[in-house]
Amino acid sequence: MNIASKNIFATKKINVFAIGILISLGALFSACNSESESETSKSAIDTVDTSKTLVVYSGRKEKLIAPILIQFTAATGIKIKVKYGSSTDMALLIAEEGMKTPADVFISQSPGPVGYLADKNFLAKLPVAITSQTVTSNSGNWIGISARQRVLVYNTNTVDPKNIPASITELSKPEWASRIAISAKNSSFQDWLTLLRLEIGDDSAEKWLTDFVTNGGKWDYGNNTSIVQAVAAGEQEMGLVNHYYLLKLKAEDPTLKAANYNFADGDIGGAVLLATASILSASDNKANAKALLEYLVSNDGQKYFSTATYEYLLSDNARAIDGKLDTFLNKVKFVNFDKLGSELAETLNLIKRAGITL
Amino acid sequence: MIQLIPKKISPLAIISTLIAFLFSLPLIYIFLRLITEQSTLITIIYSTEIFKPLIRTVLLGVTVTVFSLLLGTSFAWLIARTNIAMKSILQILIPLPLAIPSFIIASTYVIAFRPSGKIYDFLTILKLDNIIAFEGFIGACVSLILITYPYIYLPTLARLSMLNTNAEENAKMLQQRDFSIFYKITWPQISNAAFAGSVLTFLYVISDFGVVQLLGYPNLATSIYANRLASPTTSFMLSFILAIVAISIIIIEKKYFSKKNTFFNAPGGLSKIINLGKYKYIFAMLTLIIISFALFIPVIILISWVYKASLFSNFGYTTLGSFSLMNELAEQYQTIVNTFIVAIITGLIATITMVPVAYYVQKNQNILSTVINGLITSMFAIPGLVIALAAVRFTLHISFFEFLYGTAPVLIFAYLITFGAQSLRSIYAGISVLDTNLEYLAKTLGASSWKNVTKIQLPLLLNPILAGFGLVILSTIKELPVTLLASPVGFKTLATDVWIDYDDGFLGAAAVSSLCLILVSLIFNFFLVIRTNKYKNVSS
Repeated sequence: MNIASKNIFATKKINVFAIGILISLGALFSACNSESESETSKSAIDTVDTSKTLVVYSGRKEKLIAPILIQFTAATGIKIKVKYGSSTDMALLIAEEGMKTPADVFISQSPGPVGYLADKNFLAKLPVAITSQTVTSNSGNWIGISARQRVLVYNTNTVDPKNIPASITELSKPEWASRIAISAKNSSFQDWLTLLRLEIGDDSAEKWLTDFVTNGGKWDYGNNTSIVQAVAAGEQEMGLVNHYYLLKLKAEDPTLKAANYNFADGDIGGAVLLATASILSASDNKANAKALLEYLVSNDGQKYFSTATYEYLLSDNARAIDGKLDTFLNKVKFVNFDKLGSELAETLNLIKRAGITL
Repeated sequence: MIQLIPKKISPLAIISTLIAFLFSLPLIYIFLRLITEQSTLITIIYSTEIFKPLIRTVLLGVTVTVFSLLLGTSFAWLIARTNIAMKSILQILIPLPLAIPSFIIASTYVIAFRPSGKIYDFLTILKLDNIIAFEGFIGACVSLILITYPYIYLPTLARLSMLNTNAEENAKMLQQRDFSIFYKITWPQISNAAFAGSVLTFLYVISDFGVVQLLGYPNLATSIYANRLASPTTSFMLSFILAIVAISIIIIEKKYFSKKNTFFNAPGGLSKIINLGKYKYIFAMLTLIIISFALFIPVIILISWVYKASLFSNFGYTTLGSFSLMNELAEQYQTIVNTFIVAIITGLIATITMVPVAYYVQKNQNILSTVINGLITSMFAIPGLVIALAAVRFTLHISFFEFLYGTAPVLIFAYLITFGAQSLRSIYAGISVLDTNLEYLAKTLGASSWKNVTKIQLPLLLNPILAGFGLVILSTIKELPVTLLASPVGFKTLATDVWIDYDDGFLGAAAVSSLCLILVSLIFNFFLVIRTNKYKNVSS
């Protein structure tokens, strides 16, 4: 999925040996001016300029986002170059690059890393024309582009879904916890735990997780995929994950003995987590960046997320197209997403206090 | 007594110092971050759990190193000194696990050793399923031993193949037993090489993130990762502690394990091969079984992922397109080219910079050389995240270098800092076994010191230099965190492809990239590491 030319050596032909010497000399003589003078960000020109390549840092992985970026380029003529990595690492990189970041747009799997950048004022305020079409933050510096739901994946041979409690709060009890796996180091789980804290309070949330651990819940899975695989293989009976991992694994192997269980409408167990898009305040390519954000929440863009990545849609228009998803979304609470970034540190402390080593 | 300050400052000392300065940038970066974020050492130590993860990191490092040392030296001895069956095949197979990225071996193990996994069934038949739980400490140990023993095997084999066996023969005539001959005579001669490899193994283990994360063994590396967004200062502090652990182990090795060359005799006759009798087949089988865990099992599992994804290719992916082996391979082309070019350039630069440093450090035993050696070697244990961010800070925010930002040289620079240690260690070990008599002889015959170095010493160092070059290339190909952060926008390598696809559950695509990665590594491994270390004395 070649989005832009990847031949890095063609753009700048530099004698690598000369550079080695330059680096050593320069490093000796230049002081490390860590916080450099930031260019005052140029006011965005509001007309799209197809000669300017848009640079996207994406925490959303290539297989899931590259096709729609290719569609965007075909539709608008705006070329895109993408850097892929985990949302957290991309946020740390942008924070280090500061106002000199080459990135114009940051696409994040979850609002946590976005909150981190928003707190440091690295994100531009988005025009109402874009934010009004979808879910946004109070400060209007990111938009939701797609949503995934927290579910309980279960093994269809060993678990009868009729017996599963309607609320996730029941699952820390011994008869359930010992049969359930989580991934405490997964950022979706951590974001969900922040939502739980905000919903039922810090003390109750800590008790829930502590009970879950002491009652034999397994917490050291590396990621969602390995939980779903373990459940399908019968190694675990159930696991708390995002809904689409099972759908994707089933696409590669429909014989998997696993299914998703949705908690009762409105239960925090079925909270929805968002993938977001933002524009960097340092971007000098804001018109093109806005065009991309608009495209992501347009009908074409939203259709992609529902059919290709098995996610739920967020734009008002798209929800109108698919009534089924609309009714689902209306029932789900959107809790204080802006807090996911600043609350992450406290959530990690809570995880540690519950007896989990990260 | 080592002298504190060098008597006269040679050009070699200046060059070495400048190069070492580059390797101090990540540490300088850590200090800058800790200062700007206004946290003191004390508050961090009080506010976070440091000791438990630290102990777990050291425990894993020591355990893996001890077993790798046993495995690595045993293999080297079997190949160099015995008539083990299938020797020529084993010689090619033994170092190959070096080519497998740790996160691939861990992710395949997670699946192979789970209940209902094929291997677990086998363990159940053997009634081993309760004893061998391939997760946590045991799982991490096994995976890491299998990946790291070549770091010890290769230098030890190279050393063994340079020794003759006169002293061993004499001991045999005095009716010493084989084991005591090995312990009293062979071991002292190869211990330097084995311990040099052990240091690399230890540093690899304490910095490895993939295995401990996937197999569930929380330690310093996972703590650094978990805290990096919520509490960056904690991550930087823990990285600093990792560096201290690394430097300590380098000092310990130098002080207690590194001995003056012990040669029992001048170069002479060829080594004699010990006849293992019927055990030659048993040892060959054991070796094959161990290699199969490191090599064949992961590869078979990867192939099964490709097979499964191909079976159900038309299911589900309406917009993403269906899984197709040919498409996946076609997409790999540019990625493979990227991976090749960057790895070779990194290997070349590491070699060019490390030859003078190794030479200086070996020939001058003073504080400066100790610091230079410690700095460069310890960088192998610093998390890639820190090195990448340091590379960003010192290019983008220093106006003189800003033009370089976002280009491949920044990535290569970050690789150099991470893997320079491997090149340095190989060349250093090579120089340390150069016969000083040879140097003396050349001098008495009137050769100038420049001629001495270029005409006599460098040619003898060719194998260790090539081995170091190969190790750096193999590591670069497998590298993940530095590549993700410090590479030019849009730049991909095979390792980043594997991780990105695996993380989101695209196992078929991840497996294709993994197999390509292993294949590319095998090619390099064969031409650079195995060939140059091949024991030449097979028949005698």
